[in-house]
Amino acid sequence: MTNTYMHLVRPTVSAPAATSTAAPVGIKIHNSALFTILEIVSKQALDSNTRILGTLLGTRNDDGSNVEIRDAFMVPCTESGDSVSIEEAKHKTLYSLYKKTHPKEFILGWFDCANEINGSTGLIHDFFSKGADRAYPFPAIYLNVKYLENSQINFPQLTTYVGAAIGKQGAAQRIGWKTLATLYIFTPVPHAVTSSTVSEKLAMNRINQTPTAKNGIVELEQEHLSAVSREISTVLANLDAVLAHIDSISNTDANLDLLRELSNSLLNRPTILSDMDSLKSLFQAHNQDIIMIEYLTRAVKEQVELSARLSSEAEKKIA
Amino acid sequence: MSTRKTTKAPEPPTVSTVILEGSVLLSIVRHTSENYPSLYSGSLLGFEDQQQVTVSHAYPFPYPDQYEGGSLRSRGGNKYQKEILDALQSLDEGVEFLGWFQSTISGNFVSPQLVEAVAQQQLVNKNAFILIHNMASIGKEVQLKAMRLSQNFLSTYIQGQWKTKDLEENKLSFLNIFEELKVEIHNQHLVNLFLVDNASTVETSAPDSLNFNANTNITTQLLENLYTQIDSYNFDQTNFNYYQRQLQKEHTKILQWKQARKAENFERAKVGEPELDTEEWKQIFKLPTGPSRLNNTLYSRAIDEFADDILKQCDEELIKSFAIERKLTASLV
Repeated sequence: MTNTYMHLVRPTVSAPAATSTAAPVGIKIHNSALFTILEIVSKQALDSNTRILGTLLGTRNDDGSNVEIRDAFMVPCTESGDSVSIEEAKHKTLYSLYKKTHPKEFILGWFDCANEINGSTGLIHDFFSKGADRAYPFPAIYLNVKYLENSQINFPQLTTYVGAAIGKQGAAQRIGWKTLATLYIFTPVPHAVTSSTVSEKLAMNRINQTPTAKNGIVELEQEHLSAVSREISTVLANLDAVLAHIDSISNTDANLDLLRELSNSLLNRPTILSDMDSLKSLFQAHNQDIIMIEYLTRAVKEQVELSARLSSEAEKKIA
Repeated sequence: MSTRKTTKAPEPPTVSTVILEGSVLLSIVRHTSENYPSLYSGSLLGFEDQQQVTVSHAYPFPYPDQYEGGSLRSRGGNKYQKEILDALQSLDEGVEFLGWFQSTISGNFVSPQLVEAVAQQQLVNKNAFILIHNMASIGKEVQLKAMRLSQNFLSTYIQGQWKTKDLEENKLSFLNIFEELKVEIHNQHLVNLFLVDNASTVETSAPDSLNFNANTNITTQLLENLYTQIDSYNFDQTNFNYYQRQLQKEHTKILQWKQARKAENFERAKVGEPELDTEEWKQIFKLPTGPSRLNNTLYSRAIDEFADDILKQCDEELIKSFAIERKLTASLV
């Protein structure tokens, strides 16, 4: 993250459960959610007249200062002049459907891909900040994915904001023609893109190859023994890194400590490692166990196939 | 299993490739692996083409499954699936229902419930399929396969008798119940742009080191599951063996009867009387009806899948074990 943030805490009158501590708000965006968001906002490139936006879903920690965006869906909306109308019914349906499968997740806020923060941004933020089935009583989060500039597509830039309401509590400002809304100050907050499980990271390794692949399509491989070969190559790479570091080492204290550490961990090996014979026999026993399992499993496999063939032959004879 | 008799052959599927959007792959993997070891399934929505299907959305079912294929045709699951589809269609996403995903441990997915659900769906939509996420090597690999039932299986399923004769007729064995589809990953351009822009910040997988599988309980679990399947298989096989013995007994009786009748006819021919019908045994003897071979076929397939996974684990373990042994003994000589 090259961006730096100044953490300004402003009282958010419309969100009573807003974090009262001066701790920064941290936002984690899961890769799966991010991809969904990017897929949704990419529709904006086709039609610059309607505003594409959607709802962010996920979890909060207890005091609400850290949130994880885990999923997202699109909410249709129409914008005419200064007023914005969000199709609330669809928002509600989609949220209740999502809630069924993810009872512990809530609405966190919303996202769009607008180029600037303007009056409409405030209006939409107001929609997501108040009322049931919204972010209330926590402050809503606004994720902006900026990628369009004069209908030129650029690398998408993610920015996350929290909005702080200004003005007297319950006071509504008049914006434009007969639209009442609270005004907000949007403060950028830091965010990070993550994956939660190891499996996801493994899948990400494959997904990462699509930009350079032919036609943008990669096969989901089922390579034989891929896990072992990956593990071996990582171990080798680690060894290489250590060796390279030792080769280029100087006589500073820190480096001496490091060397001492290394040689200590080499000397402090378990006694079993110096007892060659027992070590060998342990390995042999282990290997034999595996070979036994392998042998028996193969036998089972052959048996099943044999039985299938025999019964079909028997049926032929009788018929 | 349904016993209705339709002679209509199932329509051959046209699709050979499943294209997953990156977000769908991540969403499936997230739901299945976050909830491991409970089993999860869900519906896949997207677009169908002549040669390929593109999966653009994946939604898990509200509750984890008791067993593989549990939610696919349950009332709750079906209702949820329909609601999701309606909601998405109201957002002008022209998506349709394509199939399901299901997490499983190795061969456990070959359950009668799952097979029944996929078979019914394939009769409705010839290109239906199911994504199987095998959790046997969770944390090391993502084993995701797209499967559908083969034509051989479907024709036998439509006949609904599951006699050994039917299996023979349709050239069906446990090895060709399923056919596998190619799975490819595709990303939208904006996602690709993001990936290119953030290439350096992408994390590598968890710290890899050569640990023995023996310390994880997955091998034990696989072996235990294999025992269970073998037990079920044996139970089924005993029934079948009983039928075979009965059949053999009847055949001996028929043979005896035929010989007796032959001798009688021979005698009658000598005296000049007309011969008696030699085919009369068909009315006198009733052959036992063969038991359904469906479960046997499914158990066989499950055993085969388990065996393959266990063998794979063994191979990995042996490679590691030998490599480590060589290194240790070489360095200390």
